[in-house]
Amino acid sequence: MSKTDFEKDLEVKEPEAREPEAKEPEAKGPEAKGPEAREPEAKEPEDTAAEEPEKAAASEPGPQESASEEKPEADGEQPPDDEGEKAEKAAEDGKEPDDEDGEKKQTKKKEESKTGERPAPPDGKRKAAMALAVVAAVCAAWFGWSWYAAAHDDSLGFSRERDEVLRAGEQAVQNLNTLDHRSLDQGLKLWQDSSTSELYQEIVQGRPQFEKAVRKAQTITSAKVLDAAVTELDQHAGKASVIVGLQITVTPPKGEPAVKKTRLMGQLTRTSTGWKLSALSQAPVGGAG
Amino acid sequence: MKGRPVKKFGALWRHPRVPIVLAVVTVLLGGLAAWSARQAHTLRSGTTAENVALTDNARTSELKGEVQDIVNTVFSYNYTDVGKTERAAQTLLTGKAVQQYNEMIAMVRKQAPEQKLVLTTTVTDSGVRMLSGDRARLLVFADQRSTRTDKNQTAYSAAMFSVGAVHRNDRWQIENIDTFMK
Repeated sequence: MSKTDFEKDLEVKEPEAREPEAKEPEAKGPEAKGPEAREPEAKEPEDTAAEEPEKAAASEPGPQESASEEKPEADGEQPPDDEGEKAEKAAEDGKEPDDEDGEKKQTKKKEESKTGERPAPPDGKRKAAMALAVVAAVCAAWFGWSWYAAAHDDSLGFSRERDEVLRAGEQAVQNLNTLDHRSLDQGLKLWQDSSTSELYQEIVQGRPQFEKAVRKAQTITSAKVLDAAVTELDQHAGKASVIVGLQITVTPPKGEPAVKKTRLMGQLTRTSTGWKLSALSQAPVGGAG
Repeated sequence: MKGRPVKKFGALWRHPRVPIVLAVVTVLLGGLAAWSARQAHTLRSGTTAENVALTDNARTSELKGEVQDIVNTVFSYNYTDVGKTERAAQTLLTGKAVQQYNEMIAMVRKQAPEQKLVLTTTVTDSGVRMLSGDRARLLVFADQRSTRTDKNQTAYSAAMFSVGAVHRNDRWQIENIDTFMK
């Protein structure tokens, strides 16, 4: 790319877009420095002072050195940095920051010859990188908060618990209506694991008799939840009610399986190991009213 | 005075690794932001969050009440005023439910006049499984009392069905009735 092309590019492109071309000045040396980059010399003493540390940094090897042309814009963005670097420069020279223009320019020229052909200050790029990092931090904070808020949203928490009650209720009702005489112990253990309080007591107390009856009948009972819904949920008390439409299939050792549909009402209680059924009964059939 | 800390900062700022560190920090923070956004979105969208059954008590009660009324009305049949039930069904049911209802009620419609049948349906319990926007699904338990006034016989039966409801023109209509017969 010729010098004029380069300069044209500088004029039309945004600072970010210039980055690829920014390498050019490194290779070409001082000539590559466009009019924009030289501008600071003609400017206020702050600018000349500010250029010094940038040039020093520019002598370091690495891909980040570039963007000499970014400098004027970057200066506009972050004047405090110039201030700081001016102070720093002054400290190095043993002078106060508000020194005479002439002295500064002299120093600057000295610096230029010292650092040689590296007028490209990477400060603009650093500032851009810093700005990106800040933007990323703000985004992270924003979405982090959004996540936190969603995770601690009461109504969302309630919804999750409702769905968990439904899931646990359906599973427990199905478990308690499933039994295979060939694996009684396993089946009844599942009954106990799915229940708590009164229902658990009932199962434990009735177990010996029940086992005897099932062994004798040799039945295999399976259940399928047709539909279910949570009708009440008291999160605070850890109590909930569900209604379940269940299809039960009882297969005797001989003969056809019997299929029936039942309407069940269950109470669930929250335990340390999840929601469990504390009561289960058939919905009463009319005539009572 | 402020020369020293500023110089320290300046030296740190000019450290050759600064851009790399900033790049890494930017990528990490960007990743964190994206991940958090995703998590928040997952929590806030999804079926669990969109389902306001029981969460929105007012809407849940309104839905249950209206569906209960519809079921009570369309499945109650009096041989002396068949037209009343059928007119009600026209406005309370929509979509697939119209056909489903006609099949369900066909037998009653045929027998009603000769048996002098009075069928009364009463919802005993219902639960909202899903309520999201203008759509809802409920499980309904109902008792049906049928009286043959010609023989003065009354029978009770238990019914349950899964109901799909849709909110239109400021009221709920039933658009699907599943009696679990398949």
